[in-house]
Amino acid sequence: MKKRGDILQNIDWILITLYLVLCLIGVVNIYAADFNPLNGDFFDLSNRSGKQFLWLGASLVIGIVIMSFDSKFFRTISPIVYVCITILLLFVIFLAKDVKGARAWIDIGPFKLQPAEFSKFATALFLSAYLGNITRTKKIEESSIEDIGKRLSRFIRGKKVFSISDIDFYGQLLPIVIVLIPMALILGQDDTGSALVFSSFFFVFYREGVIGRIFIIGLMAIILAIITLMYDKHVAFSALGVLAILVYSSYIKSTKIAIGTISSLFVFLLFMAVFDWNTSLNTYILWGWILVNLIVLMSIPHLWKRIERIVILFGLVLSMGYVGVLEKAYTILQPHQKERIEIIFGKRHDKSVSFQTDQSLNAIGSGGFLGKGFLEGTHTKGKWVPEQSTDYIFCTVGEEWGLVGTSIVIFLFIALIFRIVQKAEMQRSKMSRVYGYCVASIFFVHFLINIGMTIQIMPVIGIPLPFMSYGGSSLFGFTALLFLFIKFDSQRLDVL
Amino acid sequence: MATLESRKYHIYILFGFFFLVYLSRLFYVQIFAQDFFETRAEHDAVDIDIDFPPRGNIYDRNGKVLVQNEIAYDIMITMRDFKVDTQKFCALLEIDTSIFNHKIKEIKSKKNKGYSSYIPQEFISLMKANKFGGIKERLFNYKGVSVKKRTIRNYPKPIGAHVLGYTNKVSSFDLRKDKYYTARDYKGASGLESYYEKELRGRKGVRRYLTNIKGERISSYLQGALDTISIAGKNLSTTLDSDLQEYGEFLMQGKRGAVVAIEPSSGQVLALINAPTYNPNLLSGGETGKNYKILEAMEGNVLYQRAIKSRQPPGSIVKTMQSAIALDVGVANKYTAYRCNKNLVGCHNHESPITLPQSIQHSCNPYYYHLVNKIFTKGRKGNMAQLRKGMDQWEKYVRSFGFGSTLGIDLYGEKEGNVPDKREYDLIYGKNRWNWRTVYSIAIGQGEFSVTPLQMANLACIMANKGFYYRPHLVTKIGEQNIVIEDSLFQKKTLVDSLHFDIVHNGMQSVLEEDGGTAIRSRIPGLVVCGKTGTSQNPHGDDHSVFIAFAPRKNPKIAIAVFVENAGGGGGTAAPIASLIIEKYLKKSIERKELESEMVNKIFFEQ
Repeated sequence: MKKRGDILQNIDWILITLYLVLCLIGVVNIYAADFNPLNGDFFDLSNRSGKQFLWLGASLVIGIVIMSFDSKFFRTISPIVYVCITILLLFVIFLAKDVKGARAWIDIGPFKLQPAEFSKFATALFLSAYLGNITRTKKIEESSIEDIGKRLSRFIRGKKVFSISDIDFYGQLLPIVIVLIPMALILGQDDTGSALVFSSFFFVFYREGVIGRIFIIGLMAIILAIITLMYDKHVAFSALGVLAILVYSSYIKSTKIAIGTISSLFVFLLFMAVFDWNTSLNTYILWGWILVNLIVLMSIPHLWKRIERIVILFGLVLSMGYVGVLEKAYTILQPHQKERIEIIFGKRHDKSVSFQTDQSLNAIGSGGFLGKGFLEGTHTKGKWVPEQSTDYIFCTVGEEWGLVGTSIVIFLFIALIFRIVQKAEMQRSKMSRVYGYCVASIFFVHFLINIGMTIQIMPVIGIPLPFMSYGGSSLFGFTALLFLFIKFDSQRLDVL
Repeated sequence: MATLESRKYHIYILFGFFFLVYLSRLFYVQIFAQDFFETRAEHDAVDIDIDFPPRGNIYDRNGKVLVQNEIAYDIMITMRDFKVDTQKFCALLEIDTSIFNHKIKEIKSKKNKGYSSYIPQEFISLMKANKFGGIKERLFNYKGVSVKKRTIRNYPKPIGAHVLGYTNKVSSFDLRKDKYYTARDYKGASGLESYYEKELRGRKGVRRYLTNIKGERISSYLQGALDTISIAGKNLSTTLDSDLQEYGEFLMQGKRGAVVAIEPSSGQVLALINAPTYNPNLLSGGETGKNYKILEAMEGNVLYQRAIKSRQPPGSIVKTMQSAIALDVGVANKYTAYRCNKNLVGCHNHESPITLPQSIQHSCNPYYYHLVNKIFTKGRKGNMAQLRKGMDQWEKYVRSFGFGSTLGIDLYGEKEGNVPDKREYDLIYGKNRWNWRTVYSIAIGQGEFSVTPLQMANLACIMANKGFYYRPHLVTKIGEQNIVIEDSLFQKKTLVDSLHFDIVHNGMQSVLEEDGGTAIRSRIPGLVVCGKTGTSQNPHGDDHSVFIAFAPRKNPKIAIAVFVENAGGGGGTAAPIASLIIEKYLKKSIERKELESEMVNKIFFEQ
């Protein structure tokens, strides 16, 4: 049994190790991406690798400083930090110079600072402190799928569906506002990427019951809209089908059958991805497969609750109608409106952007299984991918270390994020749990957008890859996020 | 609350789902699509410098140059530095501003994969040296203009266009088929240039560089592991006689047809003339494409290689072969005589009855009606089984003369022609529903029988050699290496015994020398020439004029076939032309100037 108080024994060394490995992989790849044959010194401070190394050292200092405080201290200062950073964000809008289309950077002496990076930390901290303190006043859990059914039938009968009293001010509205304020300010800096990261807090809201399944339905509607506009209704239908099975499975009483169904879906998707999924044959095969699954699942009624089945089926049909209407509505739009939408969704972009993402994919794809070797990447050497040491650092991994390298990086992130979620669920204090979810979700969204961008799954949104991208601000921000959680975790036994 | 806690699984599922999608996407990109991306990456990041070796020269049999290289200049522009007064620039290069704009657009278009504003782009390709010399000084005053030296083909004498062929930019098909080529390479597109492409082209030197995004070279690619040094193309020594070729083309002007002259003792082709012809210099350099289109549209099918592709009924020239076969089969001897019965088949007025040599002299059609009938039926009239057997025997003989299959000359596109057989007639008329009367026209070289001018010349060779021929060929040496071994292995024997040919030669000599001979006008004083006229019946217009000959009768040095479209009987046009070419070859000068100018002035179509 672990002793309380002995910090070194209670630290989660797995997380520390994952952190250090990712940071070191980052420095090595920054060295390659920024390689200057005339000055090959790894630690030279005129090279980016040298600077990043320095910042890594500074980050460790920050981490140690954070760990040396008591976690109660953070709870106390969290509102102050939140307010200060929010004010700073407000200033940045007016003070900062335009760098790459965003006014997000301010100069402090020789350093450039990006307050948005720290506002993630501040928001996460304040949100968890807040949610950790309140006791729920209403049972939000009622706004489940049955509830939607009830509301729908009330709507059909012409009765009032929502009233102000339905909303729980302290339990629902305020947490959302806490997130939306910095998000709006960062949007005001034209830093869309960082603002988008704040959407990661909605995973936390979901987990904590701040928002009900209605959120999942709303999220689905948005994702469906994006998929429909980015691709077409066929892809949207496929996604719907996959989702339907996922949802269905989650209502199956037997966990074994549910896990079996979901993993067979994953295997099937993986199989399709391997054989370039965007062909019509593959689409039909997928549809057929989904249909068979649904029929099989539904024809075994004793497996699950009857009411859910009908509601979900109804939802599926409704969603398909929604996609159809959406696509129809899209065709009515004026050409210039369409163009704007297409640019937003990255379907159409100016030449330089598509060149950039193509080069990124060329670099990763040409790496193959084993990669071209350290400092041997032709695209990396020729600086073909712009911003390769920062936002496109994953390209260097892909080109020089191949699938082996990219899978190692992805597995490291999986391990890191799942470990944080697992640890968060182990917390006795609600604040620590919420904070853990905040950290995991922020890392996940960064991972999703950044790597998705380099492999052309996501539109081009410039945000860094945690721990690996070159840049002091982001490294400090991510380090602070992680180490505070490690600190919370190390003190979990203190909480009764 | 239990339900809220269960939501952690939803989070795991959601995160896990995306992780799996990303892993599978990477698996697809890096394993399955690796080749695709590797090619694309290499295309962008690797710059190739090609050192083009000079193409091999082509010489005639006397060592005179037929094809050589000439320096031409690609005018390149580097868009980043290129700022000019369009009007003046266009005036200097003698192009329209519209063409200028079009070319600039082409350079900047997406199709131009190698585009970078830092790298010189081809603006005008292969400007010939004489034009370039005039504008060189002024051209270099413009910023962003540079020049790349290349070599193009040059023909000192404008002869032999078809047989020499031309070079052209490689097509996308070539690029796929042969990995040696890269875009903007040139390769032989027809004639010898095409047949001996691998020998003539040599080997390119390739140097690869790694470039950065600006197009600047940062180092050699893979430490030069894939780089090669250029090797010059090999020269070709051909069998052609450039003087004879030139003279033949001179005689064939204004006519459609072909002349093939072969040295019978070796199979070496002395002249291979297609008419109408064109100046081969037109299909060299930057204007090749434009000129090709003009030539293609011109009257008379200028680009058609009639000598090896045109298939026509041979007409009466086959009577020489029929006689030889009849003698060998034993159904005739030199005294065998038939009456000229014009009811059987049309003929012209001459003495009758006549013997075998006389039948050649007069080209008597009824005689061959009887003679070939004898070969087929052996005198057993109305016996279908015998007719079929006889026809098989005849077909075997005819095929041994090189008809009905390619002779294997070193040019692409040679046609086989057609030797009719019983299967073909069964197909046309139904099995056994034909008889001698239906097929007799093959006896006089008409009907389904068709041959190429090259095969006609080969027949002349067989006659000259008394029963055998060598594979006709155009090249004897590649570089310093002899490629044709003059060996009996390459000698192809016909089924006819050589002792029968003297009788045929008697007839062929009298064609030119005795009264009533069909080519009496073409006699060359002081030279014994054996020949045979032919008229190839043409259902679409005037008959084609055909003549084969060899000379001198003893120890023949030249065998020739002349084929002139729509020129009527063989004696009128083909025979005089053949005799003039023989005279030129054997006597080196022409004494019959009148006949020469008459032939030159015979115009059968206007160009």
